[in-house]
Amino acid sequence: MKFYNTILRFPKSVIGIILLLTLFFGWEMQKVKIDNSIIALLPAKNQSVAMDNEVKKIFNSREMILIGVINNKGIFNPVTLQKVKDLTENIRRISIVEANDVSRLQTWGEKLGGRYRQSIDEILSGGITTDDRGAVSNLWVEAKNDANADSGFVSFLEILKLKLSPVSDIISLAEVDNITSTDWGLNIDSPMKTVPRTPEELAKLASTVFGNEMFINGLVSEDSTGTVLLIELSFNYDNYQKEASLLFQKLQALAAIYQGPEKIQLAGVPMVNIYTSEYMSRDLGVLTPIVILLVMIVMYLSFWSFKGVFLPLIVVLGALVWTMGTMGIFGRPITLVVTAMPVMLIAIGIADGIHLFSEYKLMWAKFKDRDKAILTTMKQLTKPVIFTSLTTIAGFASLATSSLQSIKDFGIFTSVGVFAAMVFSLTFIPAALKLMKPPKVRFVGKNGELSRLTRWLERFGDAVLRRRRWVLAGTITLAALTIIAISQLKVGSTMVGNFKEHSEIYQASQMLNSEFGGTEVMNIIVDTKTKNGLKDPELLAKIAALQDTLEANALVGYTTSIADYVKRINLVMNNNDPAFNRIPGKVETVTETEWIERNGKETEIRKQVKISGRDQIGQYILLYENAGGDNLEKLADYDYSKANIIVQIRTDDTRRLREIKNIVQRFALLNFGSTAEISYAGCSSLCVEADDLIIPSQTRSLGIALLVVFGLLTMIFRSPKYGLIGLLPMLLVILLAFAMMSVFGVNLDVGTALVASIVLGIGVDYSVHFLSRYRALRKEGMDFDEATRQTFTTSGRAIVFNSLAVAIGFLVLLLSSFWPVIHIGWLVSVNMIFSAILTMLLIPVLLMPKKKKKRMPDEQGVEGVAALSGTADHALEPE
Amino acid sequence: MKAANLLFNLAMVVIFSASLLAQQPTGREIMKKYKAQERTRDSSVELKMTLINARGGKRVRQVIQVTKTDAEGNRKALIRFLSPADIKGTGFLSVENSDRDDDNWLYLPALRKVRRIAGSDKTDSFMGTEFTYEDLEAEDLEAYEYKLIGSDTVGGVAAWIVEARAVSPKKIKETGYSKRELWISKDHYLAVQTKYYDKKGAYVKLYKASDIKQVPGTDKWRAYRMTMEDVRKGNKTVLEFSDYKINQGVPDKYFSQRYLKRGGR
Repeated sequence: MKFYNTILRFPKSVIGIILLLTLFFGWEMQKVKIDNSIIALLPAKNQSVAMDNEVKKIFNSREMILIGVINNKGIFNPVTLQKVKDLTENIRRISIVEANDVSRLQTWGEKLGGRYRQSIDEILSGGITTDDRGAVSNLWVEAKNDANADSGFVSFLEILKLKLSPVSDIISLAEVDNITSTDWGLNIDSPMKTVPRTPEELAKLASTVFGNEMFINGLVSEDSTGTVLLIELSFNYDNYQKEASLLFQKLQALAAIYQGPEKIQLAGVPMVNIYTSEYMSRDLGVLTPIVILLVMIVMYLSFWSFKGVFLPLIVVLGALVWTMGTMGIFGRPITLVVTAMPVMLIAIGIADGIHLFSEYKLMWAKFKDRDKAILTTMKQLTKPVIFTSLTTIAGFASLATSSLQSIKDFGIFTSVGVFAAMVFSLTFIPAALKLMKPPKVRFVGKNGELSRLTRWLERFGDAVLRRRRWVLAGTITLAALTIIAISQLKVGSTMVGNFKEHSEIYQASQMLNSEFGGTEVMNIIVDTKTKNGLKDPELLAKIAALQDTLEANALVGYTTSIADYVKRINLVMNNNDPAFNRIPGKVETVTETEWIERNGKETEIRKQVKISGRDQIGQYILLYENAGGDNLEKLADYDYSKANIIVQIRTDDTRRLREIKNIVQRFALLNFGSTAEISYAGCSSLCVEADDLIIPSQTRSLGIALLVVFGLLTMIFRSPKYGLIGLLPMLLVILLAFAMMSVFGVNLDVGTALVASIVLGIGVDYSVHFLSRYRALRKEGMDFDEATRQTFTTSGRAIVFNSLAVAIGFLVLLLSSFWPVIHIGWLVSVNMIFSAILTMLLIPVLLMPKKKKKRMPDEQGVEGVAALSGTADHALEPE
Repeated sequence: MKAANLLFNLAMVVIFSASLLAQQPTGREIMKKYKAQERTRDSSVELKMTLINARGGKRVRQVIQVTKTDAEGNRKALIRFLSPADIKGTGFLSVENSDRDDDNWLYLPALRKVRRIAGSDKTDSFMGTEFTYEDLEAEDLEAYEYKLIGSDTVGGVAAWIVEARAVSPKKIKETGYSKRELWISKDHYLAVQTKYYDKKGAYVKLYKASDIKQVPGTDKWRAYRMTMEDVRKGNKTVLEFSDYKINQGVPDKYFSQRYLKRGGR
């Protein structure tokens, strides 16, 4: 109690210190960024993430934004084609430089002076436009090589350069490498240099485009109702999410200009990420205030006092600031899963404040002495507050063992939040109560309705005890049923499918997926481990066969690899003879013409020569490089040992993606053997990887959580039997939560995987309350029946109120834009109610002494816990 | 007295500067000497091309090159690949014409066919190197405007810095550069360094020549090592020369399609 005496002596200093700490965390909070990349989900040391990075580097590849231009009457008309051409040119000229970049550049100029200032002034004169790309790039090269240059300046220039040309490459009908052979040789050129006007020109373009099978589905739809523009960002989305979002706005504005009658839609992995980011900010901005408002209303209705509203509210908001601040300090981002955290913290953390304030009101009415009321309140409630916080923390902290980074973060930081709420409750509340005027003692709320609840609870308790066997049988049946249901539970997630069906990105993705090869990309890396291994005709033929196998799957719309290029060049170098639309064989026969001097005359003779297919491939590649082609950089590494097969897929559902991966795996096993090693990269492969981690991770986390909770309960009650009795209802609720997901067709994903831990973390408090109240009553000398009845009407009532409050809080998540968050919302809500019901059903039945030996259960009470049962449960009861 | 002194000093300064200016050659004069030094009747050389990408990956190709320049200054060149094995025998023939576009042919032994290559796009990379066809052309003095912009020392060699900008309409259309800055050595009039600026004015490539030696039996000096670097991407091509022969007589027949094909084996 010394601790609280000190607080009561210096309440202003205590509040001052808390305020300073909160300001500090508030400052750190600014550093928190939203990150919705798949990388943020996976652990930093994950092998697949490393592989993905490596692949991006080797093949210089980045994610693409797809712009679909769809005209149901066909795209081969001058108007639509002109739009494609204009879009291509305008996109190439996009700059995302903002006003503050200009002023920052100016400031750097003034600060650095000299030749830098001169160059900067030149760039700034006449405003900064895409024409300044060169000058900015020169300045960057100069600064980069200048040992004395400020590193902040260099990195600023690097970003400025990137903002002046955010698009590194664009592929469209107006700008695509079309490999053809003309009468004078191999040519690589765009099929549409100028927009065709006459019917003949239009027909010629159509036949050129459909004459190159690499374009079908990749660039134009099979039925020629759509064409796509592929936009490659000049930066990695994961590192420059803000820039990506600026670029997106520009693209969106451009698309709007050319919209109608053609449909112009943006999709692709970066777009999904950008939309996710926007909707996440929206969710945070909308859901948090709503839940605060809701909580305020509920509290006002229960206390009829503004103090009663604001004290607990300050506790949760303060805890939230501390939590977000801690995230800032550790540089952890807000991920999709973490967006649910503020709502959750508010719903959970509010309880302590409510308990303390209502107890204080009772004590004030009793003692009419501020210090005494506060001290008694704190004396009674400190331990319960600490115990319930610890059990909740145990539920969440177990998630820290997850291999999935965002689940780990969610677990760690929600625990931090619960801890912060506890610290606030135990320090800020007594200090604030000391400074505030004591509450008016007012009795509100007629007992009518609420005592009906009491009566109902009494009857419920009696019924439970009378039908003990039914309860037990029912429980066992339920458990069995849940296990059957859980066996049907599916792991699977999708990024696009997280959005609601009417959302723009969902619609755009659907449309592009039905018209073209697919917006989701999987990279299959074939590593021959030998230099020039890719020039082996047999290996290339196998790669081509793998592509054919994949394309036979309806979900795979388009694939591309070095094999396609070799095939195409082989075709055009053999006068477009369809027999040569293939990879050269091991040995090829070619006809050679030679002039021979015969009888003083030059005569042409022909002969058949056998040539190695490998040489042909090598020379085709040289020919292609020499004709200015540079697409192979993305499909083969520098020494031609690794090939990158780009597979476009029409869905991002991880269950489908896993099937496709399996197809590859089977094919590789049968065909590549030891000649080449297969690995995967790309967003889709990482998503599958993340999913594969969910089940082992969740099983481990829940196992640990159950053990820790059991340990805590055993410790609190100093009895393993009580530990077990307290744990059983929670075990059943967890089974029920998973079973419900299975029955309602909710997939287990990184979001819904959290439900069980959340329910456990919050629900176990009910067991603690119920058991400790029961125990205290028995200690007072009541017999089993009497103690149980009393527990039902006091503790039971508090449990009903608390679970209803938490359930209502979580229902706010139904307003989220994301299905996983919505699922968390309703699943937690429903299961909170179930944990309340199951606690009250099972615990009394399990406590019931066997009829023959009417012995009291283990009686070693714990002082602190007695207090817990005595008071904490008054919290939500009417006064 | 004072005024007279001042006047005298001023006069001295003016005269001295004027004499300095007189000694300073113009950009065009420097480039004329450069051109004279560059020009040969014929040449033959073996060279090793090493293509290095930013990640340190290497592709090595060995070629032999012969050239011949006619009286009008039009150059013919034949390049034949000696290694790696899969492209051995591949040949490249280019013939400059004064009245029309240059002709380029490629012979691929694996097809036993000579293919004509589009010659119009000089900004394309030569065989995947950092050199474009334009970079490998002989300097066309008539198509450029030259300006002396300073002097400098590069790798211990004193050099003039000459800025070259295309002026002829044809060259303006063809070139991939807005300007080049050439460091021409004061001793042998060789380009020891060149900076290339793209059409938007961005500095994109850096050429460096080193290992400068006199070609045996001639008055010509040549760099036996050249590098071309893409300063933004970090890719690099290194050319190492050996067995240089100049003006030793190269037969005309080397520059025919027939020879291009025949020499492939």
